Amino acid sequence: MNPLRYFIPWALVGLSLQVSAQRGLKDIPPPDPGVEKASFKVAEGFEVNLWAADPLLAKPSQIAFDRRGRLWVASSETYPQLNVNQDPSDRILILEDSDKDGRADKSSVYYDQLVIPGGVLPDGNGGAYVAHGEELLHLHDRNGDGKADQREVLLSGFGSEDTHHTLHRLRWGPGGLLYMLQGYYIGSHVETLYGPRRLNGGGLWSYDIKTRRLEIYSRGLINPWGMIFDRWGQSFQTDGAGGQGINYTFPDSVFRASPNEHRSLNGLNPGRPKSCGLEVISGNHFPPTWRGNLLTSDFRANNIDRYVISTDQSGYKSALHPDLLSSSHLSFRPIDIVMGPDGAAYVADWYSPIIQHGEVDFRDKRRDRVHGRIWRITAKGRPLVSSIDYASKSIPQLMNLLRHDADWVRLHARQELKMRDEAEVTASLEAWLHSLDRSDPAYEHHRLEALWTYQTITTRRSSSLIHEVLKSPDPRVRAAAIRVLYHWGGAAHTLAEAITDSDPRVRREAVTALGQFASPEALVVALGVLNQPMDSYLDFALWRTCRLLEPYWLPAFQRGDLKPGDNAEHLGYALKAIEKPEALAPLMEMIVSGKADETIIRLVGKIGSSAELNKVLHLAHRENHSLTKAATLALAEAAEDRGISPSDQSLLSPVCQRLLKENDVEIIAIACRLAAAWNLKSLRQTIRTRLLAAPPLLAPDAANALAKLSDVEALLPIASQGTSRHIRIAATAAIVIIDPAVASPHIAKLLQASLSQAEVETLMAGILRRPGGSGHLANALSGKEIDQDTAIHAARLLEVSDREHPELADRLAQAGGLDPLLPALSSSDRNTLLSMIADGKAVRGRAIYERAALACNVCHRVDGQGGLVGPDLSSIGASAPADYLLDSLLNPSAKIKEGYRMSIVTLKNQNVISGAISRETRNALVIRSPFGKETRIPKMEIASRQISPVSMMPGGLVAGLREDELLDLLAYLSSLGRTANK
Amino acid sequence: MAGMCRSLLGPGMAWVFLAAVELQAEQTIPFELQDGDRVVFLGNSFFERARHHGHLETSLALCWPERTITFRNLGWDGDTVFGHSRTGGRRRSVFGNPEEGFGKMIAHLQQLDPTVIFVAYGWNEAFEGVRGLARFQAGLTRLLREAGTPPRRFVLLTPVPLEKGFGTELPSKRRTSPPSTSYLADRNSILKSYRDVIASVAREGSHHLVDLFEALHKSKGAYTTNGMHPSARGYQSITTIMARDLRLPDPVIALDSKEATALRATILKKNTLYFHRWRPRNDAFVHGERKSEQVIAQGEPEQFEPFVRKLENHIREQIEALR
Repeated sequence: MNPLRYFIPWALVGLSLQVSAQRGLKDIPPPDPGVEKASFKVAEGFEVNLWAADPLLAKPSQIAFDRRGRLWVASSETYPQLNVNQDPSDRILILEDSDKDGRADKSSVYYDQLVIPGGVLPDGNGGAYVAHGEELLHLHDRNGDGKADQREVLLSGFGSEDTHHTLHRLRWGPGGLLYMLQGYYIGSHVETLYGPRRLNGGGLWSYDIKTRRLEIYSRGLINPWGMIFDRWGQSFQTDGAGGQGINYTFPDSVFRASPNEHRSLNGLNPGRPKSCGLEVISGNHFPPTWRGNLLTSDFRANNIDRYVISTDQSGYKSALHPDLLSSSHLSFRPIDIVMGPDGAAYVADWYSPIIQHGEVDFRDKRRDRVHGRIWRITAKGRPLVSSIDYASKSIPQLMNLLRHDADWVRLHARQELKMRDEAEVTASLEAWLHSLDRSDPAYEHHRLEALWTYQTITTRRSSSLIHEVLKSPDPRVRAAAIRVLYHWGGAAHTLAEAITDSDPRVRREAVTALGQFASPEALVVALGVLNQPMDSYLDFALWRTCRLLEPYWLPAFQRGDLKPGDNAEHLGYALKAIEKPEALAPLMEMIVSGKADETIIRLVGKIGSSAELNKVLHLAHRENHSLTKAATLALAEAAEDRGISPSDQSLLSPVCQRLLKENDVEIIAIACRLAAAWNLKSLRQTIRTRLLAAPPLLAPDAANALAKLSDVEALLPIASQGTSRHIRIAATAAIVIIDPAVASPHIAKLLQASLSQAEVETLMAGILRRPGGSGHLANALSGKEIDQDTAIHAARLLEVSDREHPELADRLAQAGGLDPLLPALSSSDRNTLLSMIADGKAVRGRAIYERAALACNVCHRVDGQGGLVGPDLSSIGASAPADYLLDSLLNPSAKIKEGYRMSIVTLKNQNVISGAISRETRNALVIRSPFGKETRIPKMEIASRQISPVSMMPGGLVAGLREDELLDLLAYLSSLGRTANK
Repeated sequence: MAGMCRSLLGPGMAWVFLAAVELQAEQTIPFELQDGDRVVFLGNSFFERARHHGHLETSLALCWPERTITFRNLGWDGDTVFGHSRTGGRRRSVFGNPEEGFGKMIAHLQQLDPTVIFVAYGWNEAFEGVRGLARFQAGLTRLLREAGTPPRRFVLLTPVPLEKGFGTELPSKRRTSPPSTSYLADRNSILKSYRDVIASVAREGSHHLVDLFEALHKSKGAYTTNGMHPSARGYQSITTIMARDLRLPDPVIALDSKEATALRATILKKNTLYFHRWRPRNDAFVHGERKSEQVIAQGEPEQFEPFVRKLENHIREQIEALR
């Protein structure tokens, strides 16, 4: 195979943008459930049967059992978009296994006038809550004929910008609140009795049916489609568009992709593929080793995953175990998993070869609109859980069900008790609590159930019950009780005790509950948590609470009313957390008295005034100080990002001069930035001297400083005669800032050598950013010859550029002797390759993956090794079929993983910088290019930000591979994530 | 009575009182829709939810059956005079900022070029409390200025008062501080101040006013489904309040007649189609950040137009048949 066989020129990549792996879909399997079932590999000891299939149901988006054991299905054949002038016709269905033979035999239409319902939850009274685009509906069947005859809009104003992100997945929480999810593209503005609730981006809502109170429980995640409370009332989420497996969630927690939130928590399984649905295994039917495990589906790879969670300080750990079920059937799309009344796991199968509507046309004929299945997974030879007739049970009998080991039984019992007489249930609850056997190993959990039942049935509060439960020796019970206080509010005294609890989870719950107060004292109490060891979850919770309470404590602090005991460190934590200029004064005192840490110094750089920066300037002036680097960086960021410098102007030059003579290269580099930002032309000579002998870490900053100080005379000789190549490259790249025409011949000359990808990028990034810049370089390359490898690197750089540079691409190809105009792989070649997929060897493929020339691991990570620009590939083999992988290698722009699209930032000076947003702070943005080069951009220089439809992965990466090598690479990628117990 | 007020309030306040008397005089000029008028309903959930009921539009249409009048409902849940709920992203930004919401609102109005705008705001703004009053007044004034260029007729509606029941009397949590004695009384007292701002803006700009707050606050019957959003019955009462405050002529047929109900059904259909036209689901793919991922979706909203027009002709026919 020609080494440049796959060198797809830019124009072709552009043309093929619309062609994705899913569009190329041809081998659509027959819809016979038998064929689908034959593809299932179930874990040892389990079996699967078809419980219901089309025409009993179609296109399920959520399933939920009611207390009569009937399965409610939200169904959408309209998805992804209503046709013009089409009447709403999506349905809520009720499926029933009336003869209890493990197969549904009855399906009835409960309601059929919906547009793309995202979730359903029966209310236990013949009605149901339905997530319906902009609205949360309550449907009711007044005349008892099994069909809804009343439709009430409970809430409206949820965003509808993206029909697989709109409101979905309704669930009851342990205390009787209704929980529901929305995804990233949704902006919700819901009018409520307690004020408008606005949520941009993903998040989890809680809704109290009785008080009609809607609140945001947690924020973030790209498209969470799984949420569950475990036996102890702790909640977890999965993300259908983000790859971090299980996300441990608590009130006011924030996860990735929440707009305007700069700090967030990570998931527990970084690198895992997207997953949908979430259920916790309970009950006697599944074997004991499975109980408490979580089930979710890797819907892209047609698998059902099993995760084992365990506590880890104030949070959780999660480990992936071998799948419960895996399949090779392209249309098996497990979208929801719930435990059924018999203890089996029920899987809703959306059934479609096409997953969603991001890449494939709304009206594509291959979208399946008629099929849908419910699969039932049982443990072989184990007895099923007996069904329970909740409605016929007396209140004491229902209380006894609170001791049941199946989570759904206890939930149903609590919900049934909600229907009964409140006074009677309250009285019985107390009697039941006192009748419990204290030696029962589950006694502590029973007490917690009593508290949740109370919370479910009434809006009144019971401090005696809370105090009873808080006496529990089991920290899980105490933590759950404090969570109830979060919902109830108040109880400052109890929370003050809980903040000193021996268990970190209890302390974290207390910190979170205190965040709901409206008093400065709550902050003082919360900060007490710093007296014991902290961890990342505790730190997040406390940081968030400091910020939530800021409107109450900061004014009190400024009035001098807030006395945080005698502990200045505690107050310092709060002052740092809020990042407000008003909070700086006391922190400045810490600088003067020598108590400051790096965080404080950097904070002054972010938000401090000229006068406050003087203190940092004085610190930077002192020799051999541990905070010199932090101080220098703070000064540089203040100048670059905000245009603010210390008011003591006379000291700027001497301080900078001193810093340029430090021994630490990093400090010198920052000092160079500082000299440029402060426009200290008098330091040009010192910087020039530094550049002449600069190590690679320093050269770019030193050269750029000279350019910004307009010293082209110093740079030109260094560009052509500098002692090392990296110095010549840095000087040349810097000249671009002054004049791209002057710099271009120097760039062309340097390109003659065999350069690394990073060197080529450093050399060329500036000229590609500038409007018209590439034309100068094209001219300079005219009639020249350059190194071929260098030319390939340069061509790749052009491919991932946000703009087209046709002239430069041509010249590079000529100068480097590239042969770029071979046609793209034809579909027959592609199919031939795919048919030979078994010939590839993963072991050899791994070596190819690790080749420096391919640079895969510059951007991608496998098992914790590699870059973060591109998606983590640790489990790519499990989520993407080989044809998808091949297409992605050949045409990276065809399908871009959500969250990995390139950002295009246009500066006020017309320069354009593109890449992934590596991090974003208050005042600056750090962009990482596809090849790993990071550029820091002050926000005040930004004119606009856009998201590019083009992948950051260059199309020509596999150009140099032979056919057998490509097969090996495919085999390696396919193997990732497929091995058990990873 | 007037004399007593004067003596109680002092000379400065007497002017305010006189202005109120003047307002009464202004309100004596009946509100009228002309042939060819294009009416826009602009506001928060009050109007957004009204599109499912249609009583206001039906009653206005039946007041002048010989005149062709069109209606567009631009209500948006949770919205404010700043257009906060309308901030949905455009041009590759996902969410936009509140100021963009206002810009989009005005741009859409200018595109529809109405002759009359009914404005219903204040419920959401009132959660900013007393300290938000000045900002609300400025916001409302700006809205009327920008929406009123070129000059247009305005009818301002005051907010629906919080109705008792619906859970607000139950213990409440957020921002734990000494619990409020009566959420209902506190809210309505704040809403009253916002109502006063709307009334004074109406007065100063010589706009018509429908004072829902005062009328419903005194009403005995239930008027909401959830404490804040009118029920079908609530919207019916509101048509009566509107007819009284605007001194509308009697509708040509009773609003609960068979023909009026049939007319209202067509109006609801038209409202639903227009909703899909201006606020399509999948907006991210139609106008927003995911636009590059779909082409087919983008032409569809406009394809609703002929269906909307067809229904408007049908509405016209139904009204004509009554004459």
